[in-house]
Amino acid sequence: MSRRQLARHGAWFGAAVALSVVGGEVISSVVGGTTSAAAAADDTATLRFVQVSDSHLGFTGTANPDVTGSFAHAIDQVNALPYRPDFVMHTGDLTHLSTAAQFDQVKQMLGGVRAGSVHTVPGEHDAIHDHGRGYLSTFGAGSAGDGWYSFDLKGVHVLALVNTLSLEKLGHLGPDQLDFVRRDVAGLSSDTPILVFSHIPLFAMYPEWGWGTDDAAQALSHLRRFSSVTCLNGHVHQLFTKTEGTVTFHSATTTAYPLPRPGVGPAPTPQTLPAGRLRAALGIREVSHVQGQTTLAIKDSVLS
Amino acid sequence: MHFVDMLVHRWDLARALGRPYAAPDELTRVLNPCGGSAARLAPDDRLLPGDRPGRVTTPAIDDRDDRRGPRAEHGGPTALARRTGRKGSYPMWCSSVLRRPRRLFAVAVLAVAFPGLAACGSGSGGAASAAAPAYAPAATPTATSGAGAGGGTTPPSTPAPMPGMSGMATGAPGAGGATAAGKPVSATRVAIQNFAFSPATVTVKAGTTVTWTNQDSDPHTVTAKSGAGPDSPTLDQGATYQYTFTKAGQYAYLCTIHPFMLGTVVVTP
Repeated sequence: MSRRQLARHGAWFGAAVALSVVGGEVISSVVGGTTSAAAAADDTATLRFVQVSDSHLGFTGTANPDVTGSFAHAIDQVNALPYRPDFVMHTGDLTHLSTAAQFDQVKQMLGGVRAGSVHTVPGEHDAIHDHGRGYLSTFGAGSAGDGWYSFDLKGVHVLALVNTLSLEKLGHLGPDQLDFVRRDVAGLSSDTPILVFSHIPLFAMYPEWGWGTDDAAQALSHLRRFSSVTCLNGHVHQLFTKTEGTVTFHSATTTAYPLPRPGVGPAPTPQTLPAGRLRAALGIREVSHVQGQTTLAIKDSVLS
Repeated sequence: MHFVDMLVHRWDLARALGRPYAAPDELTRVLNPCGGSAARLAPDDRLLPGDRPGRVTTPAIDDRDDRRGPRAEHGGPTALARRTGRKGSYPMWCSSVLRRPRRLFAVAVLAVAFPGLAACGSGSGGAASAAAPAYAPAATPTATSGAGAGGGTTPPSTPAPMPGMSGMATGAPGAGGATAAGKPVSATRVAIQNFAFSPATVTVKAGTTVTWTNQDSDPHTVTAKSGAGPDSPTLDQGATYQYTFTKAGQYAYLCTIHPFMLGTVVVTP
């Protein structure tokens, strides 16, 4: 797909990143594009899922006056995929202010997603004032501790971690969860592909704005022996990718509003762009990890 | 070590004079047993804080650099940091030495002085850097330098006047004394502005009521880190919160939604 094609197909608002796991390697494409990943033949051995993030239902700022509409648009895009994802993961900040009404709304909307299953991890906006109790009562079924869990699907081991419930400056996993990670992967073969979801990045994307997790290194130390580890996060409202050894980190974009790039401006405030220029001023990133290659292919495209 | 001194002092002098500096080949050959190419040191390299006082470098994320891998031929500390596996982002799992800009500066100087030694001598780190030589997102090293250039230790929680940010101001803060960032100010009004408490630290007498006003469009809270102290509900734009401090002591607080926003109230008897 050319840059032009990608720009034409890509819709920044509500854009969701679709990732396919083929033979342990993760291939990423932007939903709405006509990539080979999206059009891949149905393969019972291929895990395909969608990540959606940072919908902030209840936000009422000029940066996006209709976050509900753009979240609905994202869901429509997922449902319009030429395949049915094995699962959809929302990586947090489902709500803006953790109110009961906002949790009800997001749960109802996620109920309209057509996928094998729908999963979530909480963002800090989902745990305001109640240490995540509202979130856990809505989405916490089947999870342990503060809402973490894991599952296996088509040979891939998936960890969903919570680093937003006891934070100070940075995201924090805590000793209980670190112990969970250690025990959870202890019996796995080292060639099992590992997927790790969290809201806040597990790498130091920009600690000055809280874009990092202070005890992530300990969690990752339990995953070092695995040949393929992919960490997917939200929180930063922009696409970003980096690889470190066998671990690859992908930050997802948002369905709500853009945030500045790290360190640009005094604070991570919602960015209000001139009418009609939002897409032109923003970009999307394709990330692919082709089987047999050790490096990620990254393609940044300015939306037209 | 004498050669190292020569190299570093030459560079330091060149930097002080604002002149470019290329290390003599014989020096770098001696100091670089791994056979790496000579580092050309430019005084304006963005990894080094303080080179351009007052200049805020924005950390442009240029991942094309990541794909290109280390730029061995025109090194500079950024590339050296890559070569040595020292991550400019001072990730959490890095040595704490790397997490402070000043020390990072020192490490950068060392990395400059020992381009080969550092690459070879970092033990398992050397292997790691060989496995992932391309890593070192441009974002984080320059972010580090941005903090350094913007005023050394100015934390993001203080709205220190930084160049290029005036456009974000939304009006005069309610606190009259909100001038010196982080410096204790006698005030009873704290503005929440641009994701920071302003003034970040206020000093009041016991029995004083402090008022916080959220001037951001984003919601914030005023929540004591531990124990007794302020514990506000979610404050929307324009909302205020008041708390009366009855006992002397230091009250550290944060915004639970954006916990990098930190403030302190010092209550004197």
